[in-house]
Amino acid sequence: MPRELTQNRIQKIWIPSKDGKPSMPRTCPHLANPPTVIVMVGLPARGKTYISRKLTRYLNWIGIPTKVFNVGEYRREAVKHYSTYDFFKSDNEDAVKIRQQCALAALRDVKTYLTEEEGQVAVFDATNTTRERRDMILEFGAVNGFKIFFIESVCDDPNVIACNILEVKVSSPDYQDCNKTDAMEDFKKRIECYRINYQPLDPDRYDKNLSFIKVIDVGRRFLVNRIQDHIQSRIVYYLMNIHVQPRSIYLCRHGESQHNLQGRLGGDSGLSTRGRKFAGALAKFVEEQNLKDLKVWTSQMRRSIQTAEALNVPYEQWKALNEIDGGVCEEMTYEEVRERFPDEFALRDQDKYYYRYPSGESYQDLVQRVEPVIMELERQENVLVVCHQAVMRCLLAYFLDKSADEMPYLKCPLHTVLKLTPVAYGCKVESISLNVEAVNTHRDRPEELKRGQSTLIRRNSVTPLTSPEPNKKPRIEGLDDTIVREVTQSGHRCYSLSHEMNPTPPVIHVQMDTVGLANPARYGNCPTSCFHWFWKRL
Amino acid sequence: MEGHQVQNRLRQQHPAQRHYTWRWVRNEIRTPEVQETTIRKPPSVTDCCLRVHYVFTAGRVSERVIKSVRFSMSAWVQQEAGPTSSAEDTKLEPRGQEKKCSWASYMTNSPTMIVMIGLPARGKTYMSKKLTRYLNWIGVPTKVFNLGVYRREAVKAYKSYDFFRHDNEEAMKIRKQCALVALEDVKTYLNEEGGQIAVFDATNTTRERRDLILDFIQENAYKVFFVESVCDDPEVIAANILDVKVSSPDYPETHRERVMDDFLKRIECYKVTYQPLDPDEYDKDLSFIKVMNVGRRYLVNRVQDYIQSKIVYYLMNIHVHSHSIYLCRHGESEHNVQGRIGGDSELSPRGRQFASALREFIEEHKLSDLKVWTSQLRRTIQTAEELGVPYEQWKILNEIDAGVCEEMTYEMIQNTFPEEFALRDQDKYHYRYPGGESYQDLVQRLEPVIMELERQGNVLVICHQAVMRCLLAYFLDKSGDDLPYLKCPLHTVMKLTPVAYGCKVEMFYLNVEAVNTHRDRPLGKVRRDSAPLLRRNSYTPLSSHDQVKRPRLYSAGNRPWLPLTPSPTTLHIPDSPDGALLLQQSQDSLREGINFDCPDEANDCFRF
Repeated sequence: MPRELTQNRIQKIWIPSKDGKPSMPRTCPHLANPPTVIVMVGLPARGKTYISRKLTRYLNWIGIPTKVFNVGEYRREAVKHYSTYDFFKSDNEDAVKIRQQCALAALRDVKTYLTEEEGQVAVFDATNTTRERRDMILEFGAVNGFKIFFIESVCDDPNVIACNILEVKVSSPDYQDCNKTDAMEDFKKRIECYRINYQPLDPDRYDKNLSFIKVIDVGRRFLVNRIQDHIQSRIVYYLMNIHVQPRSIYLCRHGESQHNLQGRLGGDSGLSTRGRKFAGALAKFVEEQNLKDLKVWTSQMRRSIQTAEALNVPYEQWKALNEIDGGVCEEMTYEEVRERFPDEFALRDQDKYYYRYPSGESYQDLVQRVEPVIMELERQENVLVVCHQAVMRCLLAYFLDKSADEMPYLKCPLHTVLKLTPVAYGCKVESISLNVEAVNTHRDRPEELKRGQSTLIRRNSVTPLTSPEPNKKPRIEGLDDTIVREVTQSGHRCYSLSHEMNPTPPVIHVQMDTVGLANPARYGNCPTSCFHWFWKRL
Repeated sequence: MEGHQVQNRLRQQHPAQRHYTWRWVRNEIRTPEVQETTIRKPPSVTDCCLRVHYVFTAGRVSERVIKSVRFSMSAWVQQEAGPTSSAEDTKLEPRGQEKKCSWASYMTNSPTMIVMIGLPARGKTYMSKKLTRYLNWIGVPTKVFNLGVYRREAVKAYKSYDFFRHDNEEAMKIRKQCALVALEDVKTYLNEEGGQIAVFDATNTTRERRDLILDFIQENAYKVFFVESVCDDPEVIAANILDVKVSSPDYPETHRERVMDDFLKRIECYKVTYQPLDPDEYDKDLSFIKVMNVGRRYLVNRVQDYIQSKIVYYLMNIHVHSHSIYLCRHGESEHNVQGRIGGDSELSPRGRQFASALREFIEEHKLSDLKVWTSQLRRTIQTAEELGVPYEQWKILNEIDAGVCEEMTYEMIQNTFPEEFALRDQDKYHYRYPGGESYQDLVQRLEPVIMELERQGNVLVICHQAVMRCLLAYFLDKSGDDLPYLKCPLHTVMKLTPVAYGCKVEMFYLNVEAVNTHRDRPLGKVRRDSAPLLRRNSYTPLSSHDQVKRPRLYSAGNRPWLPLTPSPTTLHIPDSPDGALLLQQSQDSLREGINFDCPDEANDCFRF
C-alpha cells in the first residue's frame, strides 16, 4: 500500500516511509546492477595502469564507487627487493607461486571491497595474460555473483612501448637503485617473459561469450564484444573518447561580476570594471600561450560570454556549463539566505555536496550535468573553459580526483587561470593569477564541521568516493635548479590547490608525457614546463 | 579588445531562446555602408548541447569560419538583408574556400556522410532509419538516401535476381547510374538544404563503389563514416527476408517461397563480389564500425569526431529483442486541478484513483520484469508508490522547468508576462522560460533516458506532459515543430512497441476522469509561418518524414501476412483488455498527434 512520502531535507528527494522509517529508494538506474570487476589484460607497458586509473577516476566522479587493485603493489609488498627479470620467468617456480599468492590476495580484497565496503566496481590491474588466470577470475566472479568485464590493451608499436617504459616504468620502485638504461633493458626482458605465455582474448572461439573490449594501438581501433549493461556501455564509450595526445586544459571563471561585488549568488549580471580588466588580461594571456587550435567554451551566462568576447576568438556556449542553480536563493547574498532560510543555510553546510537548493541544484546534480562536457574535454585538445565557481570545482574534481567531500570546497578564485596538463597517471596543475584584483567568493568549510561528516557520506552507495589509496608514488628524477628559477621569474606560481598541503617536497618532473602512450617525438622539448606538485592524496 | 567595445557588442538576450546574440559588423565584406545584423549560428550540429555562436568581428575570424557557415548564412543574409546581399554571398564563398578551418571541422560543420555496407537483408535499412530518427531528435538534421528506391524508379518492373548478377552489364550500368544520382541528391541535401548528415543506404559491397564514394567525399570536403553490418546466422537472415523483403515492391505478385528463393539468389549475386572492410590493410585508415551478428560484437576503427563517437555509442546501445515501453503521466495533481503549471504538488483524489487503476492495468498485462521509472517530483512518486513494485527515480525525468512562471496558471502568466506568453506561442519548441528551460533543453536533458530505454526490456515511465512529449517525439519521429503540441492526456497509458522500421502505439485510457491540460497550437499562428524559419535553422530537429517513403503496392491477394499488422491509417486498437478501455474519441483527437507515418512502414517487420 502506498507509503507516506517525506522529503529528505538535504537532497530534496521524496522518500517513502514505512512505520515512520524512511526506506531509501534507488535513485539511479545503474545501481540495480550487481558489482562489476573490470579485469585488465595485456603485456607490461601497454598502458593498463593508465587506463585503470583514468577509468577509476571517471567512475568515481560520476558517482560509482570504484577502486583499483594493482597486483604489482601486492607483489612488491611480498617481495621487498626486486632484483632482475628472472623473477618473471615462467620456469621460476618459487616466483610463480608468490605471484599466484599475490593475485589471490588481491582478489580477496576485491571481494571485501565489493561485498562489505559498498564498492560498485573493482578494477583488477594485472597482466592476466594467460587463460588459466582469467578462468580463475571468471570462476571467482561466478562464485560471488560479480559481473566480469575485460579490457585488453594490445599494442605493437615499439616506439609507444619504449616511451611508456621510459615514462613510468624506469621510475618504478622496482628500479630505484638502477640507472635508466639497465632498467629499460631489464624491463624489456620482463615483457618477453610474459610474451611466451600470452594468450590474447580470442573473440572468435575461446572467449566469444565474454564481455570485453580490446583497445588496439592506443585507441586507434576497438573490438567490443557482448556488452551486458549500462555500466559496461558507459565504460566503452569513455574508453573510446579518451586520447593521449599532449595538450593542456585551461580552466578559469568569468571576470568579476556585479553580483560578485555585491556578494550575491547566481543571477545573470554583467562584468564589473575589474572583471573587464581581467577579460583583457586573459586575452593577453591566451595570446602569450600561443596555442594551436585553442577552443574556447563558455556557459550561456552573460558574465562568461562577456569574458570570452574579449578574447576575440571564436567560442562556443554550453548550457551545461551554467552556474549551479540556486533555486529560491538565486541573487541573494549569503546573509540574506541565512536570514530568510536559516534551516537551509545550515543544511548546506552540513553536506554541501548533496545539498540541493529548494527547486535548484546540488553539486551532485551538477556533476551529472557537466558529464557531457568532461566527455567532450577528453576528446579535445587545447581548450579554455570560462565557467563558474561551482562548475569549475566539479571539473577540477574530475581532473584531480577529489572526493565528493572535498569538491565543494576546492579553491577556485576569480581572475586565476588553472592550467591542467595530463602527466603520467595524474594531472599537473599550474595556477596563474593574472594580477587583476577581485573579491573573494570562497566560503570555507565551517570550522566545527571540518571533519566528522564523512561517515554519512560513505554510507550512501552513490557517493563518489575517490580512489585515494591507489598508490601515487612520489617520483624524483633529478632536480634542475635552472628550470625552477626560470619558472619563478616568469611569474607562474605553481601550488597545490588543496588545503591539505602536501607535506612532502614538491616533485620535480623533467619529462612529462602522458604515460608512455604519447608521441616519442615530444621528448626533445619536454623540460620546458615548470615544476609541479603531484596531486597527492594524504 | 577594449572593455567598452565588449559591452557594446554584447546585445540583449534573444527574446525567445535566452541566449545572447551578437551584431555582425558587416563592413568586413566591404559594403558601402556599415550594416548590422544579428547572426545566430545554430549550434553545432554535432550536438544539441552545444550552442555555437560565431563572432564575426575581425576578418581573420570570419575567414576561418565562413566556409562552415556559409549555407546557413546565405539563407540568412538573403532573408535579412534582401537582394542586395547576393553579391556578397558570392564573394564569401571563394574566400571561405581559400582557408579551411580545422576549428570548425570538429564541430561537424563539415557535413558527414554515413555509408552503409553489407549484403542484402543485413538490417542496413533498419539501422539507417533508426539512426536517422535519433540524430534528428537530438537536433542533427539527417536524411536517408536509399539506393533501392532510386533503382526502382529507374527500372519500374523487377523481374528476377538476374538483374543483380555482376555479369549483367546493362543492369550494372543502370545501378551505377542510380548511385550517381543518389550522390547528387546527397550533395544537394548537404550543401543547399542545410542537412548535416546523409545516410547512404545501399549495399556498397565493392571497393570500387566505396572508392567512388570516397572520391565524391573528398571532392566535397565531407567526412565519411562507414557502418558495416556482418551477419552469418542464416536464421536471422531468413527472418529478415520474411519480415521486410517479401513485402517489398519488388515482389508485388509472387508467392512467399518464390520470393525467398529469388532473394537468396540475389544475395548470392552480391556475395560474389563482396569485399568486406579490411581493418588490417586496405581500409585501415577509414573511420568505420563493423556490427557483427546483430550487435553481439563491434569493431570500431578511427573514430574521428564527436558525432561519430555518438553514433557508435548509439549503435552499441540499440538492441532488437522485442520489448514494449509504457509511457504515462502522473495521476492528476492538485496543481492540475487548479490549472497551475509546474510545482511539486500532491495527487488529487482522482489522481490517486488513477494510480490504483494503473496498478490493475499492470497486473492485467502481466508484464515480466517490468521496470518502473519516475521523476523526482512528488506526483509521479505517489503514482508509482501505489503500484507496489520497486521503482527508480530519475531527476532528469522532472517536468520542464518553467522558471519564473512556475506554479502560475496560464492566465496569471498572460497577465504578468504578456510578452513572454506571446513569445512562447510563436516558437514553443525553442522558447525558454526566463530562468527555466525550453523543449529543446529538455530533449538534451532526456537523451540519457532514451539511451537507457533503448537498452532495457519492458519499462513503464511515469513522467510529465512536456517530458512525455519529448520521449514520444523520439519514438514517433516528430519534428521540433510538432513536438510541443503532441497530445499526452492525463490518465492514459501509451504502449509503444517497436515494429519493423517504426513504432506501434496503443493507447489505454484508464477510465478515471481528469482535467485537460493540453493547450492547442494557437489558431492564427499558422504553422506554415514558422516552418521556413525552423528549417533555416539547421539545428531544428527536422523530422525524417520526407525521407524515402516507398509507396508499396500490395496486390489484393498478397496482403502482408504479418501478424503484427496494425490497421492502416488508424491507431492500433487492441481488443479491449478487461478494465482498460480505449476511448474512441480520444483516438480521433489523437490522430493529429500520433499517427503512423506511413501505414505500410509498420508492416515491414524487421526482427532479428
